[in-house]
Amino acid sequence: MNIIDAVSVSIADLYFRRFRTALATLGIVFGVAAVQAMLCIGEGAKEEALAGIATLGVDKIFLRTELVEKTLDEEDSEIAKVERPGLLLKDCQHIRENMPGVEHIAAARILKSSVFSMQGRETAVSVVATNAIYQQLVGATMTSGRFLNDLDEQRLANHCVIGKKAARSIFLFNDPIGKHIDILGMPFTVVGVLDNTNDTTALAGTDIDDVIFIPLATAINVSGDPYFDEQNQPIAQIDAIMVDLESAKFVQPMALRLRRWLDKENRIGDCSMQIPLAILRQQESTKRIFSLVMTTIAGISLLVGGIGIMNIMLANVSERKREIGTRRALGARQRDILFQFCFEASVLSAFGGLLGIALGYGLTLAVANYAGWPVLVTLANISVGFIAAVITGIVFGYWPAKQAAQVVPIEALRAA
Amino acid sequence: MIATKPLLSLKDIHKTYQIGHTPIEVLKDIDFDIHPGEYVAIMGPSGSGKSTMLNILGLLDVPDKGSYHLNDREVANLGDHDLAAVRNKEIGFIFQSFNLFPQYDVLSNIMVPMLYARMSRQERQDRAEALAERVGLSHRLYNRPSQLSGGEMQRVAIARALSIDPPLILADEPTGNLDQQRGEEILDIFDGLIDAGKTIIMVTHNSEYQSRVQKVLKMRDGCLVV
Repeated sequence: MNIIDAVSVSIADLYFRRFRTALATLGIVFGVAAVQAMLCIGEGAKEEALAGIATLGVDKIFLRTELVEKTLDEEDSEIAKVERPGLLLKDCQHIRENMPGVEHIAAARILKSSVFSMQGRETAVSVVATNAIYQQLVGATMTSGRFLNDLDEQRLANHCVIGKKAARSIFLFNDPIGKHIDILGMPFTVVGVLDNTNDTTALAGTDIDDVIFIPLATAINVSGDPYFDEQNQPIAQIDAIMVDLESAKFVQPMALRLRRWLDKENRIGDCSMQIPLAILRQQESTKRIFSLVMTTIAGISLLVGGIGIMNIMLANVSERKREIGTRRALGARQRDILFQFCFEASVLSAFGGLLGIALGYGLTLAVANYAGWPVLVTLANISVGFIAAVITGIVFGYWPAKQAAQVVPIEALRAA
Repeated sequence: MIATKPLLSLKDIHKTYQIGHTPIEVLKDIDFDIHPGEYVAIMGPSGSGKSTMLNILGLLDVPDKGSYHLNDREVANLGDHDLAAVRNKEIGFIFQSFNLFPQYDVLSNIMVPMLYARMSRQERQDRAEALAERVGLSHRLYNRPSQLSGGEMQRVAIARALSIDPPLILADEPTGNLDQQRGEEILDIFDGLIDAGKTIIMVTHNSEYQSRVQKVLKMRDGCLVV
């Protein structure tokens, strides 16, 4: 019997018992639908997470001052609250000079200041005071003009660079370059406009497109805080340190080193450390667990489907003993019988697999529409479910088929 | 009797069944030849061993002892593969309750042995149509067995038995489930087959058929009685 004959024989046999066939298929249908929906949704989520993490920059570490007030004396907590200094400018210097693998390092102050355009309109944008190196650190590009430079810092220049969104809200459609804005009660000249960036994390959630950058030294000077202490160390307080490492392999050792150093100086609570790589790892392991759970569920569904098929095929075999005996009398070898019943089980499960793909596709679309989750429907995702179904059919159909092949012809012919 | 080489020859065939702990000797010392073109009836009371005899002749069962030559070949101890081939090509089976496949139409039922003989689709189709015509069922090609009368079903079974054109036809009570008239029709077809050179061995209870066959093998208690 060739394949076409075998398929048409199987279809005729299955169609003859179509109600039973439909019932037997249900398990496989749901199993395959589960496998497929799991793959499409899981892959979609993974893709999105990876794309999100990629913008974080896996070779960076961010430190932020935590404004915690530490209670020194518990008995009189009202008075004894002391504000800890948090990160200092000299920490930046320490990290650059003492820890290996640093490519760029920038400090920043996040200012709480109102910004007025020269027409006196107040605009809700954030002001970040930082170093010239910040541009390289986040890989920002300019729409027009330039970024802050070292000269701006040395001269305590009243220069500023504004994000694209901030430029739009302050200057509307006018060219901002050379115009003035009022920050901290002083006029600042716009020297550049930043292009759109995806970087939203370097300043912990600040939208860089909606930010005005000024030189850090200028900001410290304006604030009146002391810049140097008696030993000529820069002790100005800062809100964030951004470290760009030479490669991702420095991240783990750097994080350890920073923690050890902060611990030694008893400042571990003064700042928080954000490591995109660690977040990525964390998300990856969460995804792995999710995948494992989903795979297990899909596997169990297929197992149940397979048992359903085995059950129906065993019933078929015992019900069709006389047919088997007759086939043997007409010249079927044991192998022909084995093949026939295996084929029936695989056609049955392939049919279930096709229905399952349709149902799984529907489920995936439903999830995509209602939950708004990203999904990824690929040929690979679809064929995995189908192949799993056919394999399930063959595996669970083999034993009943073997029983069929081993039926003794004369007993089978006597069977009612 | 013409002195031709026998189509089949049984020598000293014994068959014992174990029922519980009691061995029951179903066939003893069976010895006979059947020549090509012979029309033979095996008769005898129930339990005389007729069915076992037919099963052994049809290679569905193997004797414990003795030799069975079919077409000059010892077939008593062949493997599954060869037995299936002999059953397929050299023997046509006709059963008392027809044993048609309810899921197939008349044409597909006739084609089943041809599937196992690996004939091409076209050849199967042509032969099956010709055979259906020969047994007078050209108008029933696409009916299912459930839509046929008993006589028609047995005619389909005969067409199926003839589909590989085997020299030997084995029929187990072929008229047992039919009324007198339908039974006669089946026997008329058998007469035609004998005229066409087939050898038919038929197990029957009906002693009226003695007159229609050339040779009667009477059995009692597992032995042939002359």
